[in-house]
Amino acid sequence: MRKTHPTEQSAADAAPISCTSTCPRKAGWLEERLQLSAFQEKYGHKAFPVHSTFFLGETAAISFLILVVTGIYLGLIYTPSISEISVAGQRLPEAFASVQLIESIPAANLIRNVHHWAAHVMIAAILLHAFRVFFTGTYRKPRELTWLLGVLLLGMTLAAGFVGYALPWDAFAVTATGIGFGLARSIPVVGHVLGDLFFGGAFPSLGSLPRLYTIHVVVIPLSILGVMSLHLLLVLKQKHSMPGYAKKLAEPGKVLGISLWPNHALLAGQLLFLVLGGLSLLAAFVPVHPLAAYGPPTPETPAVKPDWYLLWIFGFLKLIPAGVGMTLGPVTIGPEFLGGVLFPASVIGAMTLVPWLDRTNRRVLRRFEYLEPPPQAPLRLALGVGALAFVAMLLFASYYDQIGLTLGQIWLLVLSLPVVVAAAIFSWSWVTRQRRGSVARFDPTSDA
Amino acid sequence: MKHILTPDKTASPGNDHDHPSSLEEPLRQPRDRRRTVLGWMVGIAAGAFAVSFAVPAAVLKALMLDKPGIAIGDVLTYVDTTTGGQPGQPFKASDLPIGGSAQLFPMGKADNQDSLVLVVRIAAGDGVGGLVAYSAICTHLGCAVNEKLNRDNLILCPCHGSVYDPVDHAAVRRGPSDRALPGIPIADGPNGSVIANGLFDGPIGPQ
Repeated sequence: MRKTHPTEQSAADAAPISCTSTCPRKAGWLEERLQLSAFQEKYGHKAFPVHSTFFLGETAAISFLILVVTGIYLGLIYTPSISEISVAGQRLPEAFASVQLIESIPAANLIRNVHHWAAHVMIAAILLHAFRVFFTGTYRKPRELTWLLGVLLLGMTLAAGFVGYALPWDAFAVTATGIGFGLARSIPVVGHVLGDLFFGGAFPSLGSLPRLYTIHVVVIPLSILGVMSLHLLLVLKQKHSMPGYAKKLAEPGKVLGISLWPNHALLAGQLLFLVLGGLSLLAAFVPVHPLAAYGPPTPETPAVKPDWYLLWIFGFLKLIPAGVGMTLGPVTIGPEFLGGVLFPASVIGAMTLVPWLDRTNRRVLRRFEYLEPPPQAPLRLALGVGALAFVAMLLFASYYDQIGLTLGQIWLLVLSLPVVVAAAIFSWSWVTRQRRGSVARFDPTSDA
Repeated sequence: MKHILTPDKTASPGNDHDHPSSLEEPLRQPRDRRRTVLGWMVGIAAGAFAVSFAVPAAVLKALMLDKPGIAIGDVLTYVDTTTGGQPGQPFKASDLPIGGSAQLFPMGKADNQDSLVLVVRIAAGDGVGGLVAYSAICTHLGCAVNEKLNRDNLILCPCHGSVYDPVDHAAVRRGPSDRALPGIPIADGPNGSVIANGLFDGPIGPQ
C-alpha cells in the first residue's frame, strides 16, 4: 500500500489554504516533542495562596540553591587536607592555606561570604517557617508528614552548618569540631564507632577533613534535596493551607490563590533576586568569620562560641553542674551526653511529635485547611512562646559567667522565666477568647 | 481508570458473596500463606541489603597522624611566649612565680595535642618543689584549659566553663566536667629544666 488515504491527504493539503485567523498556532519545536502544554494544563493552573508568611519556606529553598551554587565554586579551590605545607615561609595546614587563597581573591571572597551568610539565612528562614506553621496550627491533619519532613530538613541543615565549621581548619574550626567529636563519642555504647565513622578516626587525624568534607558537600546536600523534594511534592499534592479570609471568598474545597505558572513562578523569581541581592549586600559589607579572626590552629583553645543556631546547645552544656552522670554497667552517661546529645535530641524529638501531641488533631475529623489565628489556641500559643523563651534564656545562659551570675541564679532564670511568660500569654489569650465569645471563633477546618 | 487488586478478588477469582464461608476458606488459605511468606522474604532481603552497608561503613579507615605520646625523661618545653619563654625551648622551674602557670609540650612532640601539660606553681620551692603538673586537656569535651589561672587561682576551661583546683589534684570545682584532670609526675632535669617522670595517671580528654 503505497498510497495514503486520499481523504487524509486532501485535508492536509487544504488546511493551509483555507485557514486564516481561526487557524491554531503552529506548535513550537519543544511543544511538538514534549507536549509541554499538557504539563502546564495539569500543574500550571494549580492555585497557590498568597500571604506574606508563605515565602519563608521558599526563602529557605532559594538559600539552599545559592548554597549549592556558591559551594560548587568554593569546592573548585578548597583542599580538604590538614597536611602542613609551606606558604610564604609559614607552615600552614593545606585546608587553611586554600581558604586563605580564596580570601585573597576578591570575587572568591565575596562568594565565600555569600555562602556563609546563605547558611544563616537558610536556617533562620526554616525556623520562621516552622514558627508560622506551628502558631497557625497548620501542621495538623492532613499535613503531619510535611511537618515531619520539615523538622528533618531543619536537623540536616543544622548538621550541614556544624560540619561546615570544620572546613577552614582554623583555630575555631579545630576547637568546635573537636567538641562535636567529643559529643559524638559520649553517646553510650555506639559513640566511639559513630565518632570514628563521621570524624575519620580520633579527631584530629588526616582522615578527618576528607570525611567531613564529603559529608558537607555530598551526603547532606543530597539528603536535603531528596527530603525537600518530598516536602514540596506533599505541598503540591495536599494543596497549600490558606489564610482565613479565603474561607469567605472561595467555595468549599477550592483553593484561593494565584496560578503556579506564570504568576507564582514570577513571584518566586522576584524572591530569588531579592534574597541573592540581600545576601550579596551582607557579604560585601558584613564580613563573617574571616580567617584572621582566629588564625591557624594552636595548642591553646580560643574562647569559642558556636553560631546562634547552635548556641542554645552550648548554653545548656554550660548549665550542667559538676557530678551529673551515672554508670550502669558498660553504659556511661556523662554530662556531655546529657547536654550535647540527649537534650538537643529531645528538643528536636518534641518538635517532631507536635502534630501527635496536639489533641485538636485527634478530636476533629475534618481537614485543617486554613490558618488558625494564634490567640484562638491559648495553650499552643503559650507553650510555643514559652519554648522560645526557654531557648532565648539558653542563649543568655551561654554568657552567664561573663555577666557575673552564679550557676544557681542562671538555672532559676532559665526555668522560671519561660514558665512566667507562658502563663502570662495563656491567661491573656484565654481572657481574650472568653470575652469575644464563640461568635468570633474561626473554624480552620474545611467544610468539604 | 484505576486498577485496584483487592485481596478478595485475587484470593479467590470469581468469588461470590453468596458462597458460604466454609467453602471460601480452603480456597483462600494457601494463597494468603504464599503471599505472607513472599512478603517476609522481600522484607528480609531488603533488611539484609540495608544491613550489608554496615560492613563497608565499619571498615572505613582513615589515615591517622603518627603521634608519639609523652614518655619518661621527656624534657618539657614552652608552647608559646605567653609566660616569657621561647616556643620549643626548655621550661625552667625557676621561671614560674607562685600562682604562675605555663603550657608545655614534651620536646619534639608538639604535634600531639594530647601530650599538652599545664604546670602550676602552688608553693615556693627549688626545682620541681612546689610545682604541680596536669594534662591540659579538659576532660569534658577536650578543649585545652586556659594557660593562665583565673581570679581565684583555679584552672578554667574556656569552652564550657569547667573549673579545676590545681592545689587539690585538679579536682572539679565547677561543672560541667565530671572528672579531674589527669596528673603527671615531674622531676628536675639538666640545667634547671623539668622532665616527665612518669605517665598521665588517667585517660586524656573526654572518654
